[in-house]
Amino acid sequence: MIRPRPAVPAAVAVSAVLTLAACTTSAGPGAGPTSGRDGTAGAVFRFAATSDANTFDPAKGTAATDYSLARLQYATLVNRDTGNKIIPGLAETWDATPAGATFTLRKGLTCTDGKPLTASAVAGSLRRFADPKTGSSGVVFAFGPGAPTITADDQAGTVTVTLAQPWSDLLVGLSLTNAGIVCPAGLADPQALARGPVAGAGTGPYVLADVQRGRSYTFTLREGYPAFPAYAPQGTPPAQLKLSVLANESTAANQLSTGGLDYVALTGPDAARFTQGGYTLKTAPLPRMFVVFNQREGHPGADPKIRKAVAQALDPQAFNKVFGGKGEAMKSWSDSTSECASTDAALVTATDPAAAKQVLAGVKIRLTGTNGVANGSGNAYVQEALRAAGADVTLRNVDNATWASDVLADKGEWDLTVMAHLNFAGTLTSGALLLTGPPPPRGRNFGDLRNDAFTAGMGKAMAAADPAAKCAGWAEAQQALLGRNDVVPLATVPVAFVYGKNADGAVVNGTPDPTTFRIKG
Amino acid sequence: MIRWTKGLVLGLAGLALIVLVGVVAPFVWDEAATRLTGAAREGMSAAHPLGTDALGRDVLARTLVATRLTLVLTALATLIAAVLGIGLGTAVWVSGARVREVGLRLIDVMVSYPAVILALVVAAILGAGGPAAVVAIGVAWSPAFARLTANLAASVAGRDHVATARLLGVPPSRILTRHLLPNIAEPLLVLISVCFAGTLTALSGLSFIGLGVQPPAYDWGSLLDTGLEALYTNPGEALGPAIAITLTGVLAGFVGDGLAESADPRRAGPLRRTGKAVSRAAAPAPEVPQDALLVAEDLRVSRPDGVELVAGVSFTVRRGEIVGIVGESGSGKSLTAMAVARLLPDQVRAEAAVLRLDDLDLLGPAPDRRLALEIGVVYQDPAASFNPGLRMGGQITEVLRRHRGTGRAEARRRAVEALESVGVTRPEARLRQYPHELSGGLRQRAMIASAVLPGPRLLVADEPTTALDVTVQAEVLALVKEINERDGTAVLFISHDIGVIATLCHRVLVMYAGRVVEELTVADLREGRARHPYTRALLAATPRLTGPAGEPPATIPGRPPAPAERPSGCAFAARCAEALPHCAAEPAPPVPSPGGWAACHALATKVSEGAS
Amino acid sequence: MAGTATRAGAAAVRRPHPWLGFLLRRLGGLAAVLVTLVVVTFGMVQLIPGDPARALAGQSATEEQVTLLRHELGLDRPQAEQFGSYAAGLLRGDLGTSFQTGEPVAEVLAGRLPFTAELAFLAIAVVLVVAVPLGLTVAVLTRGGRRRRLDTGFTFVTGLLGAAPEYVLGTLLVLIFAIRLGALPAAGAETLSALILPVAAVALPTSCVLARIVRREAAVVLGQDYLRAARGHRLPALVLYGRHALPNLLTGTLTMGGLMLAGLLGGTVIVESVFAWPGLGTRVVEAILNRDYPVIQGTVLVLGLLATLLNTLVDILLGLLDPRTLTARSHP
Repeated sequence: MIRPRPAVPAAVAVSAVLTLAACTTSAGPGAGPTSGRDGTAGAVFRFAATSDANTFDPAKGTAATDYSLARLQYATLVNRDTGNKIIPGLAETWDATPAGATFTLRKGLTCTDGKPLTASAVAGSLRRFADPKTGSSGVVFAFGPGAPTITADDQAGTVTVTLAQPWSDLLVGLSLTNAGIVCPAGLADPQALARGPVAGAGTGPYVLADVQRGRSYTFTLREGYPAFPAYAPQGTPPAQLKLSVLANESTAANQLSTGGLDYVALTGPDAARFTQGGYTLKTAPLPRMFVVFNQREGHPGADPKIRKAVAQALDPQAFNKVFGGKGEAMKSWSDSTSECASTDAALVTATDPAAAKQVLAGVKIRLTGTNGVANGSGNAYVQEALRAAGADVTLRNVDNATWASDVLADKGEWDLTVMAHLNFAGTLTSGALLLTGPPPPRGRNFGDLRNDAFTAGMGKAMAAADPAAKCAGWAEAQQALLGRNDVVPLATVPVAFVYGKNADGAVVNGTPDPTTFRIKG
Repeated sequence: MIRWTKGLVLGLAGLALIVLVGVVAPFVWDEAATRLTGAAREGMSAAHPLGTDALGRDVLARTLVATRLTLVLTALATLIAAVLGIGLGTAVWVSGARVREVGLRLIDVMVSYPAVILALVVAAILGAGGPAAVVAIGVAWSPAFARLTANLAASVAGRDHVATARLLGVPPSRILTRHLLPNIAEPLLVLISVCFAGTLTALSGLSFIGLGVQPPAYDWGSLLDTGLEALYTNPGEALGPAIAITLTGVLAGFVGDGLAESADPRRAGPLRRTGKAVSRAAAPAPEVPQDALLVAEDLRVSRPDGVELVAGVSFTVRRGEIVGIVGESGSGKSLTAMAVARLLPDQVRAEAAVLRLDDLDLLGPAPDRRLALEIGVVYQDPAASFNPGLRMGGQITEVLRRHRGTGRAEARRRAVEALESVGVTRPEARLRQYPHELSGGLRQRAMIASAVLPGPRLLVADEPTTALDVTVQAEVLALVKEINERDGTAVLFISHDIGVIATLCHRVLVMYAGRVVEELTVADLREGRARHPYTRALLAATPRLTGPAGEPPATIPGRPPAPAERPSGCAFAARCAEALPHCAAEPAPPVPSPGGWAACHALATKVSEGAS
Repeated sequence: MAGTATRAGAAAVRRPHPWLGFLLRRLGGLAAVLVTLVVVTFGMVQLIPGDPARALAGQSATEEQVTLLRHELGLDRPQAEQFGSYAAGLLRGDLGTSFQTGEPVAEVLAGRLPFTAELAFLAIAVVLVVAVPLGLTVAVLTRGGRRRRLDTGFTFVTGLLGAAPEYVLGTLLVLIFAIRLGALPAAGAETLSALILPVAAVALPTSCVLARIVRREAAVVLGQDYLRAARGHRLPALVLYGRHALPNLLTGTLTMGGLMLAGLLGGTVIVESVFAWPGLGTRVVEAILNRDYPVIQGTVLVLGLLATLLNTLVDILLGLLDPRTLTARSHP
């Protein structure tokens, strides 16, 4: 359903998912699957991305292809497993509180040039990640607002992060690829790091060996890499990974079925071709869709009655059907797989078109949405539903870049948008950051929401010392937000991850982790 | 004038039907096309012949309803392209020289601008959607129109009447509407239909890239686009719009072809067989003189619909004789000549009782070699009858080299001689030149040289002087006479100008409406002893020969009948001052005279009266 | 212009060489084309709504990060200044740097153009090799209204293939030859056999369109007086049509072919997408969606330059075939 455009802007790029590719072991498209049945070195795993990488610098990555490249080359201190539990990465153990954490590195870590990876080098990489001048959009997920202090003890092999204010998402944030650790060789010249692979900069299991911009990237496995995530599926790590840029989803599916690829991510009906025949199919939500109002003075969304009526007019179940009905009708701004996300139907305004009609009749609403997800048919549903409730709705279906400018930067005229939230972190925080704080141009609160109870609840969650307290904070925040209908939860759009007959890989937090691609044998 | 060919009718009828669907469908099937049935992406079934889409809507209904938007968008885009392009292309030609130079450069730039990328950028500027797609495709196609219009206009603008109009100060807008547009309308219509078909696929291409019509609106392109996603689960979803797009494109192509065909006068009429002469039982032949070289008996040339353009002509040409055939255009004189040369157009067929050149039967499978060597042909328009892409030398020596096996150097030497003998200066240089580098007179001399170079026994000259000015005409006539006298080459000389015939020929055949109406010696002609009223009328219309000085030449009232409307009797009767009541109904009997004969009822009556 | 052409005889004698004037005019034209392309394209990309920095920064970027990015991309300077430095860069042969990937635009083009050119040139070669003989043969065979059935069949088949959207054709080719038969690769550009389907998808509809044009032009050429004169030379069919009809046919066909090729260089977007062909078309679509101004500008400039050169080349070929065209001031 999600329509992979030949090229997808970084911003919304649902197709970004596709970037996380697939694998094929066959040598050539015509050769048929020859995948390392024996598991010997030399086996190639082929996968595809929908768009080219924007940058090779892990800190600056904004789209799925960037994340794939970063994940393979630059390891993170911690990882998450398939159940979203934090597990060791470069750090073997850690001691975390909302105010910070101390990480103890594994012994014998090296950079790709064989030099030892010291604690101070790790700290240096994190400091550069946190530096506002670097401009990494992942900083806020890891450290929250305010600048962290990062220190190292080379003797003990520890790195200590002290936060400016409590932020319970620290570990999650540090597991994201933006926080990938870069060796000093890479930090010496950040511009070179952004332009291509730098010798000796990597800390991950693979080295980028061959770059064909816009076409393909070939990675080779590092001998005896010690820090593979523990949850990888059975099989042998492929000696080579080849990522091809394949803009068209059907083309990728064709490649998979003819043995030219070992893994593809599919958002459309092509996934149905692989339910039989020995393929491994896994699904996960990627975009979380919800309605956000422009609550500035003079816009209909400023009126709580209208917000409630819009919520009554929209049916998340029907919206879900637009995308094939395989998603999850959400009860919050993220789905049930996110930590602490509400699944309580009572918090959400119930669908009641009749009630909506009494309020919405004749209300003029300008709906702006992105056509990056399933050609914008979700937007069309919202338009039809509101129109059925008597509103006078004009829909602007625009591409991602225009939508990002018009809505996210609030440079256009809009009353309502269907937010296609690419929740790469898989957390409530990720979406919540767009709903609080100052509006653009100073902040990210593009709808200019002023919900103090929500902000307070979020603050509690971020300062919580334990999971229960964190969820209690989030519960307050969600109740506050949903009670005022500041957002209208709709549904997730699922992505199917299809592995070829001899391939497998783990899906972590909604996206396959390419370091876990395995050749079965 | 548009002629209604089968393809054109089929194309227009089909398109009309599709337009009808476009008008009606949204009223009839709109509800079915938008109702969410809840059965998403179902295969083909009786309830949904083409299945349902992702929202469970009926694909067939959507395809039908989408017809209107698709047609409107396509037509608008075509309109934009045509108006922009034709406007620019013609504006360039009606404005001053400097503006024109700039305008032509501008068109160069437009053509060099990558059209697809231009369309994409325009679509991006306007924001994806129907209007953007229309403007994008329209703008992207306009350079093609501008270029074609400019080229067509260039040729028209160079014509005399346009130049005259401009000199006379006719305003540009009037030159445009009166002179330019009407003359280039037909190729433009063809391009419009091609553009329509191209726009249709281009619009769907934009949908494929995501810049086409956006939901909730839908056209065939966007339906096809989403349908292709489901190709492996429900092929029907793509099938409907794909067929609709292709069918409409094919129909638009038919219209384009039909227009192009009817714009091309050479392909007039449905045509069946070629013009190889076929022998058939014929009327009793006139006596054939001993020294006859060319004998034609009951030669008929007919159109595929059976209408005879030449209706039973018999004549002979003796060795060394110059026989002229004279008549108004449409009298069948050129067809007669071309039938003899076996160079009739494909559309017509010839048949005869006898048609032979000495011992060579022109009705049978005559060997190419003998035809090429024994019959030389001089055509009416020397400018058009030389291949513009080949040098003179190659064309002049072609027959010698191919059919006589003459070597290159020898052939050129003889060509130089031949050119010299027809009075062409610097013959060696001429052989290296292209036809367009020679003047009209030189070209006709070269054509005569080319025709006589293989030493033909018969020279067929089809109005060889018509395209030339008067002084050159006289030179060419002298040349033909010289060749005839020097080489003894027999000549069949065709002209509409009885004066020309009178100065050159030994014997004259007068043709009217596909028949020979009189045969007479040139002496009789010159001395006004022509007997057929038509011949006399022709002479009266020619000032040099008969008209007293100062008296304007008489004109013949009326026009010759069209081939299909010729009466069974004398075709000239309607215009004849001496016509008798039965003239048009009964074939006129040939009335012999000392040097020939004339077919005329009035004459026959006079003769019989005189005899009695 | 037509006047010039008819006076060509005299002109050819006066001028030392018609080629000289032709080439000078063309060079002047080229310069004008380039300047216009640069100015117009720069102006047009600015009109595309949407902020490149905002598009690049991602959903979760703060405005601070966007501003930083905008500064890095030089987008915070006045537009006149941006154009000045872009134009200055062009004069130094620097096409700029991609906003999106940071690659030099020259490198982007150098990496992509060969693939597009390979596809376009092969396709146009196939088109010419198929369409010209096919169109001419059909024109000869159906001349004067003979063989109505062949005529109808030709019109129908070429009409059908010519009117089918190329991505439908491409998808069908993949379905048949890659998925069902497994004979050819479904996508990619790694092997030589991977070229077959994309070239077919581009060449098939184009061949059909051109074959119809050739056939129509051929019918006109076959009716020309000079062809009747050539028939009067009683030549074998191959010589008659090959020597006397074909070259005159090529005038129009080559002009069309040149325009088509120029179009294909930027216009194989869709086929590239269907076959994952790493060409310029898909790259420029990506650039447009990402508001990657330098890549859009560079692509348009290079393609415009190529198109102009191709047209010039075609005109030179035409000049060789038919010298009359040289003295005409615009293309024929």
